Amino acid sequence: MTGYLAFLVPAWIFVIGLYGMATSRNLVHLIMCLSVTQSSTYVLILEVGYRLGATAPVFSDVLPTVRATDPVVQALSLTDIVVGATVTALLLAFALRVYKKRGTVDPRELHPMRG
Amino acid sequence: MTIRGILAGAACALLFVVLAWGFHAMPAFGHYPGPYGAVIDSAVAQERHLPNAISAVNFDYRGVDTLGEEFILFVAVAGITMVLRFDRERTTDDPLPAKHGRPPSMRSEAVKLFSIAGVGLTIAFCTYLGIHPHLTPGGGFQGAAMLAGFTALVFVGLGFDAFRRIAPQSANETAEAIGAGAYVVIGLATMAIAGTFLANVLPLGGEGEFFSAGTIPLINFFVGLEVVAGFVLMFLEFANETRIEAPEPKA
Repeated sequence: MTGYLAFLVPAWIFVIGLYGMATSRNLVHLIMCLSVTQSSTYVLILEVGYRLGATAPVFSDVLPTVRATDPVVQALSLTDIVVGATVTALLLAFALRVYKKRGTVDPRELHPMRG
Repeated sequence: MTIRGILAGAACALLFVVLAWGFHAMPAFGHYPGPYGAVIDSAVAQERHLPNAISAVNFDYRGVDTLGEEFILFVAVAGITMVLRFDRERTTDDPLPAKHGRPPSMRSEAVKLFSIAGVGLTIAFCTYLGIHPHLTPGGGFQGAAMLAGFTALVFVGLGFDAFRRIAPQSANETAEAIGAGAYVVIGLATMAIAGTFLANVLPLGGEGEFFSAGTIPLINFFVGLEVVAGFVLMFLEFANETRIEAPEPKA
């Protein structure tokens, strides 16, 4: 069981972000909560690639034979972060447009079917 | 209990079941069984002559994925530009007339001093971080995303007009296009030489030297160029919003 305790961290980040999105009254707040939810994936994939007692897979001053973590998941989390940042920026641009068009960023006052 | 409460309770229970189910089948923490990482860790020094296995994955073994990632950034920047420019003229590098009704924002001397002092430091550190993907933890994505922050510092310290002078839009558009295009050109050139897209055809050099690891630092440089230009363009578009007035009500 203790082997799975570490996975509670990404689960918690995911759930707390989801809760924030579900209860959000402000689009900017909602987008930030989406970022939080997404950041749970960084923690998760980094944890997946971790091996007990391993060092970072950069062999500048350690021998290549030393036990190291999985570089594939680290490269994946890099991709994840870049995509997350750009998606956040794009969503914020949309929030700005919504505010200009409708004068509010409260999702409850934005009826989806109005043009 | 309201219908809303019942639905929320059911959704939470379902989420918990799915999460527990998913985590149950995971390998225990620290006992990852996947073989690929270990293979790359042990082979990267001989195959690619560089110490940083993550950069080798990013710019060589999984180079095509990074190409896709770079184009996600490219498309996102284009999307932001389109969405934000929806109701204004195409932004150019020409001097913009001052908007009346918006007084020039006042900054304290301390804000100016620390923003400007931070510019040189940011440029030096982030350039160092960005151009050494093969030697140290770092690389084009990380370095360039932070490097773009120096334009934000100028914006904070000296305002929008200074920001536009040091980061002209036309130059950034060109740099972004070059950065995105060069990755594809490198891929096609290596395909013409070696028959494989993004094959590492350049001399590998000695491990730990600046010019080593073949195409990895080269690709990284153009990725960095694309990222820094893309982020600056994004900042430019958002900063432009700070000087747009609300449309005047029609009489």
